[in-house]
Amino acid sequence: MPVTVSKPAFNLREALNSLRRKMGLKGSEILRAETVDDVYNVIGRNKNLLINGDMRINQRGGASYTNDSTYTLDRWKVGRYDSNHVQISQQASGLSAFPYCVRIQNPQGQTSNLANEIHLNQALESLDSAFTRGQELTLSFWARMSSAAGISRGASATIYFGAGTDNYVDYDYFAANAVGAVSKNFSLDATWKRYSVTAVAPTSTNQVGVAITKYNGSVTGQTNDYIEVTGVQLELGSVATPFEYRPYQQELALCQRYFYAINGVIGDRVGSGFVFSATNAIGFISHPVVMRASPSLFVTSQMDINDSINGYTVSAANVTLNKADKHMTALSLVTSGMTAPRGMQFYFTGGAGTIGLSAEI
Amino acid sequence: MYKLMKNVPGLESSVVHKINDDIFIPFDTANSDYQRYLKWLDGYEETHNGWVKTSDGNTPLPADQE
Repeated sequence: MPVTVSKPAFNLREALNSLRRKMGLKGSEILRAETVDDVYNVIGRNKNLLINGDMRINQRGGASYTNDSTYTLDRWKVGRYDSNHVQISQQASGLSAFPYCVRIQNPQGQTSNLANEIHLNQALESLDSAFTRGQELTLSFWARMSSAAGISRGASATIYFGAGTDNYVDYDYFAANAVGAVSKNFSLDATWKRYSVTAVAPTSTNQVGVAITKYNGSVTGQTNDYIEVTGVQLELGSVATPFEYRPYQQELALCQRYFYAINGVIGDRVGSGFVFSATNAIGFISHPVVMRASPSLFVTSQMDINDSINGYTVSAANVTLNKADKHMTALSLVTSGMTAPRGMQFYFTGGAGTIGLSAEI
Repeated sequence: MYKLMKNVPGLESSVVHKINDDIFIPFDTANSDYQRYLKWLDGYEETHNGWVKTSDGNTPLPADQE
């Protein structure tokens, strides 16, 4: 019995044209991908292990930071070996991809030499580090240096490793349990360029950190002795892939796990609480995200307490820490003449000021 | 220099004030400021060249009395 097989019409010309369809570089990379991980490495998936790599967020609000061993722009800590003179500031980069950069500057009049290079560090917490054991990591960044005459130095980039749990950073290594570091030096010029260094995380790694170092020569008294850095990315693999841009709110929330600033002006509400004696009240601040640890507190503005009947002023010196947890902080507010027990709200009354909560590494 | 804080009458202090930096530090071993305080209690001072052992131990100022 004859069998008839019919096939749909096939347009050979269209099929050939589809093979000639213009395909971008990334499209080709995705087609060549052998694994899901290969695809993610092209399209990104929170691949940047660093936070605030494009230097957008400056919750502390400083126009410049001049003490060493302190945090500056969010998540970036400065260190310098032999003096207390540094100058770190957020600047406009002039780049469309990264509107902001960090300027790492030797203060005017300060001798600059090989021994007192300035490090800008970011340490990951252990919860975000252990999975890197035995894997390649690539640190990449954009940098340029001052075009001022007499400045002909460079930078170095370091990936460093620790075996401890959330150890803090000294200069450009973990203060305890350091287990290795890989550095690379670069000669910069006045044009933005991208640089990178790759390292393999030791199998004992429980913490990863990076440092960008202003690598000095012998310069004294220069007014523009600086380098500028932005677009810093640390990712798995041996190749620096395009910088991963994250929405501002997402980046801010990532920063707030480590530092939360309430920057207020007169009248801005901070929180609520209760008056429990004529002189003492407790005020609560809910953290927008769960912080890494119970945070330390600093306060730069006086507060007013209002219990819906009367108002009371509390000087900044009398706003202290009562109790801190990862999700909430209780402030102790001390003044006089209050009536207890009453509920209350408290708010800024001393002009622009800051309540800072720090759970940095 | 550090000073213990007595924030709530009757409760043992669980906050220390780092006077030079004017920050208030909770007693949490995960807090890096508290880690530095513990190091200071052990007799170390933080310098530009790292930690230097300067004594057998340091003592914070006591909390204010009621």
